[in-house]
Amino acid sequence: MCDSIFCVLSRFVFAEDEDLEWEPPSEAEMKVLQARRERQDKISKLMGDYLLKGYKMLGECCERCETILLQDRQKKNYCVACQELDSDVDKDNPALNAQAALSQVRERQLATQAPLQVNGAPSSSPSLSAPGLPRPEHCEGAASAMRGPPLVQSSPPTSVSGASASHVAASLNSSQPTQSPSVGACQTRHPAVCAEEALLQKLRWATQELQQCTSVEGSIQLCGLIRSCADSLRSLKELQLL
Amino acid sequence: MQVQRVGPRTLLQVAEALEAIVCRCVGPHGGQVIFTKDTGEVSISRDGRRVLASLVLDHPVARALLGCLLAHCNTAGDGAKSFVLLLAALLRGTRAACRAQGKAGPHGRLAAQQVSRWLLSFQEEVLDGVMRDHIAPHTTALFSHTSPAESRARVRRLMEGFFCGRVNAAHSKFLAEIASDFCFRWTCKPDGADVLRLVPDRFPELHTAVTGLPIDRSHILQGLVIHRDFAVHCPTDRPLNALAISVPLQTSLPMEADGTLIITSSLQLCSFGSWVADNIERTVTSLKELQVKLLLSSVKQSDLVLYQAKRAGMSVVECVSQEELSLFCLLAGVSPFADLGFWEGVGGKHVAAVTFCQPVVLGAHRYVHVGFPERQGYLPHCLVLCGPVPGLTAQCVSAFGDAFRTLQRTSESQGRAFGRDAEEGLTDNLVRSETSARPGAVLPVGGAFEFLLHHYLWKHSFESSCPETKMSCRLVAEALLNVPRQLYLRHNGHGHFLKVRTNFISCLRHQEVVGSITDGPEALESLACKYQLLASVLQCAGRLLSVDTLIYTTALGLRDKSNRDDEDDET
Repeated sequence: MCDSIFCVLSRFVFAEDEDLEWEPPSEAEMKVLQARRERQDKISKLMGDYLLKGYKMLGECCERCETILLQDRQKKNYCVACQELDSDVDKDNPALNAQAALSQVRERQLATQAPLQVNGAPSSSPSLSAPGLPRPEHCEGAASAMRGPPLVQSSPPTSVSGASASHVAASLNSSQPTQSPSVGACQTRHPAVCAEEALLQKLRWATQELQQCTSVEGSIQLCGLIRSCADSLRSLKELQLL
Repeated sequence: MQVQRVGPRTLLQVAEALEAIVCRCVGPHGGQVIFTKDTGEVSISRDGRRVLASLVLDHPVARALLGCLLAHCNTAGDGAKSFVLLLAALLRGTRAACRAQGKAGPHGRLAAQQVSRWLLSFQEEVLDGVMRDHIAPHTTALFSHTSPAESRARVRRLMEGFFCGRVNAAHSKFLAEIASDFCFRWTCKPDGADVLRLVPDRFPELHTAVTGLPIDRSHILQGLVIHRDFAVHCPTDRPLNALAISVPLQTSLPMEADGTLIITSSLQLCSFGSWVADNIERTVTSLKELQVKLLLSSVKQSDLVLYQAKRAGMSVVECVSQEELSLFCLLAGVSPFADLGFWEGVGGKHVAAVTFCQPVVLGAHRYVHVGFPERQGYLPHCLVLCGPVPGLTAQCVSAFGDAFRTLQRTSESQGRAFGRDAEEGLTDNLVRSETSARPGAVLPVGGAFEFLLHHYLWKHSFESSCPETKMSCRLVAEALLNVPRQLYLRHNGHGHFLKVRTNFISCLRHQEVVGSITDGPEALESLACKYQLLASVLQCAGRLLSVDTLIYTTALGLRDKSNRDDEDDET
């Protein structure tokens, strides 16, 4: 806000007397200013948090974004903009985040099913209207199950430890979710089995990503995903035993 | 040798990082900040200076900024958080102005240099005049010569305004009451200028910090607490004479520095011992004749001296710190005796009259408590400040010390005030300010100063024809609002700030009296301190913006250079 006021004031003051052709910033410019301001505020807040935790503010800047570098007690340099803010942006990249992918698929399906809805009755439920498919809130892997090729049914793991996850990862194919949904394959089998396979595939993918992940925020998110998959698998197991 | 260009962007990044820290604890509704020191120890505090001083800052701009801030706090006693908020807003405005002109790269630095020149000259060219002509008429006097009760009430409100930003809201009123009561117990005069100079200067000796008790157990004691226990205690209830000494009572033979005492037999040793004992007995007897019942010594006395003192009914306190001893002498109007061996010279100018001398238990320690008679209209008192944990006790102590410094600053007479510990370099000349505020001028808290100055600076910018003056007035005016904006953000969001500001401007336009502008109690703040803060921020911002390049050197490189210079001088 202060940035934009000063843009206005300084143009007014520094303008020559003859040069009175000044226009207020457009909405697009205002949005860019607002976004820039918010990003800077986030960077400042993060830097303040880390300084209070004992991080050292160095006299060097990051080569990529020119943000001042911090150093932790283990003498490791840290750029809050590159390693935290930009990984937040990666959260919206469907190639890197299952939740983002699920959101994209959901949006696509809602868009295709919108003409079929009853007039005046907007679909308030975020769930998919296609029958037999699990609700997104139950498991993240549903999207990859719909997109991925038909998987060979394997025995579900009896525990949710890391060892079993890696065993599952070793026994399944490549974990990257493909973009071609194969909804028909899942519909011929029990939904719980489909869900279980999808979860196992997602677990394997998350484990591989975790091994390669270098950012703290990304690692925390991947661990959260693994935990959610494990909880979902346990619920499915209980469902199958009923 | 590494060279780095510095522009407004870098300065702003540093300032905004520090701003993000102080925003958490600013104002009466701000919280405590938990921070980790360099040693790994975790502390909790609302004191801006303490939090910022504990950060590990290796960036030269951050260290320079912190140096300016500490120099200001040492002089003014308050304003660490407001300093950072004002400075960040000023740098933000400067950067926006440089970018809006479309001058990036080297031209951007030229614009920053230009702004730097404006800010450095702003105080003399604009601020002093606006303060004198427009702000001063809206203030009230802290001390009323007609009504001492009114003076006490205003001092208490000033202390309330100070403490509500430094300690927990639950304790601010109680501590403000103690602080104002403490000043007025020293003297019957409403504006005891000597007291208001003495108390902040000697505050370390005038208070005792006690950990393990709740804050509301803090209280005032008449007299002075000497932070040592009795080596020999002979109770007495009557007023008594005391002597302050800085030499041992037990003297040896007067001889040359490189002389040697040779004792060849046990008989000689016994004779020597008897001679020493007789000397001590004679000395103690001569002190007893002067009716000295309390001996305050800055050095350790021998067992023989303590034995003789006990025999003579004389209490002895040894290893008293030099500062406490000098304060005792100042309050009693005597000088310490330091003439080794010449005890016949102890006279009236060394012997002090005290009203009582007794042990006092404060926390886990036992100290010596002495009382003084009223002298030159002053009756000395001291403070006992309690806190449940060491961090909160230290916060309370620091707040009191700064409160008295603020009170001193508010009431000192018009003229130049020089900082005692001004650092060189960027902090040079930082704390010199010719205040245009009359002594004792106060305003209501909550942004009155900022709103008033913002209003009159904008008015001045419209009336002025010089474009540089217009720009600098508007830059400073907009930066000023950052302080009340952050204050009210914690209270009730942005809406409350706009509402308060609108009400204030409306009162100003209708020329109503500027009363309380918040919904809370009518606390006060010092105009002199606010002016000092703004002047310090302008100087700091001006100096930082004038920095163009950072050149990194090493201490080793400098030492080699100085060695080479010495060798060149010798040849």
